[in-house]
Amino acid sequence: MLSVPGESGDHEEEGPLRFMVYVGLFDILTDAVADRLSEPEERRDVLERLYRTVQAAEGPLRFALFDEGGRAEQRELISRMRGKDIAMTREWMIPRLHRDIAAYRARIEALRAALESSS
Amino acid sequence: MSSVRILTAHWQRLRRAYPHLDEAELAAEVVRRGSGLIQADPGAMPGPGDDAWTRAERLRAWVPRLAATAASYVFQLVTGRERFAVAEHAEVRTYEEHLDLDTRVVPPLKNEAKALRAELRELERLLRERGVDPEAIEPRVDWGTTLAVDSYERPQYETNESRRKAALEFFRRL
Repeated sequence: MLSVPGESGDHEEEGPLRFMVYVGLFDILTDAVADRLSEPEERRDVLERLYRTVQAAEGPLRFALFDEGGRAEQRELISRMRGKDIAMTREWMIPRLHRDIAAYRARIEALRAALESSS
Repeated sequence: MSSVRILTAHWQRLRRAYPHLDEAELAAEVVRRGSGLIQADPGAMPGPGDDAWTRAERLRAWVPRLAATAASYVFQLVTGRERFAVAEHAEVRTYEEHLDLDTRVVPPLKNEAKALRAELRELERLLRERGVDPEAIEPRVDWGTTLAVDSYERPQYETNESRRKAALEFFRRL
């Protein structure tokens, strides 16, 4: 956890702040790498490699995040919808079927008795 | 003051590069550089026509930004893992519960209700044949409040394997 000067923000505001912190962090790290090399060509080659590496990683990471996030959202939506369906079945349909069945049995018993007495 | 979470692995990488610097000092430098760079125009991205000097300048300006973008994605993927796992678990749990209700709990009840309704109607028909008015017999059923299950058919669940076999069988017959 890093403390950043400014007003305390909510969770949604953390994204831009985190990006700012990461820019600073990687800027210092880039210095650390470049400072070890005295030749401009060497520095450029190292920067070139770093650039290509992060450029190549950025796309797949973005896709993975989009993919995982989308899948989680879909799953949450499906679970919510199924949850409502399950609750309706448990709280409403099953008790109602039990009540109906009890009413049918009571009526069938009375009808059978009437049939017997009428024969 | 606001607090920002970053991955420990990223922070430790920086700490390893500057082991002699105090942690608070390093954090302050990170924020100072970050806020300065964010407000500055990074200029054009490195391009194929750049001369060596321009390319080096542009690479130096863009590497931290691209790395920060990638690191932000990594952060979201790592911290989102719990949410992804919870969502997956909830989906599987509700699927199994729903399937259990639809295959094991509800069908026997509906079939029983369906059979009892048919039996009840048959008994009423027999009574009418004998000249007895079934409506005069208590208890009566308030049909309007019951679940109409007369045309209920138990849902058929197929496995992937059974569907595959059915498809093969279909094409074999052609």
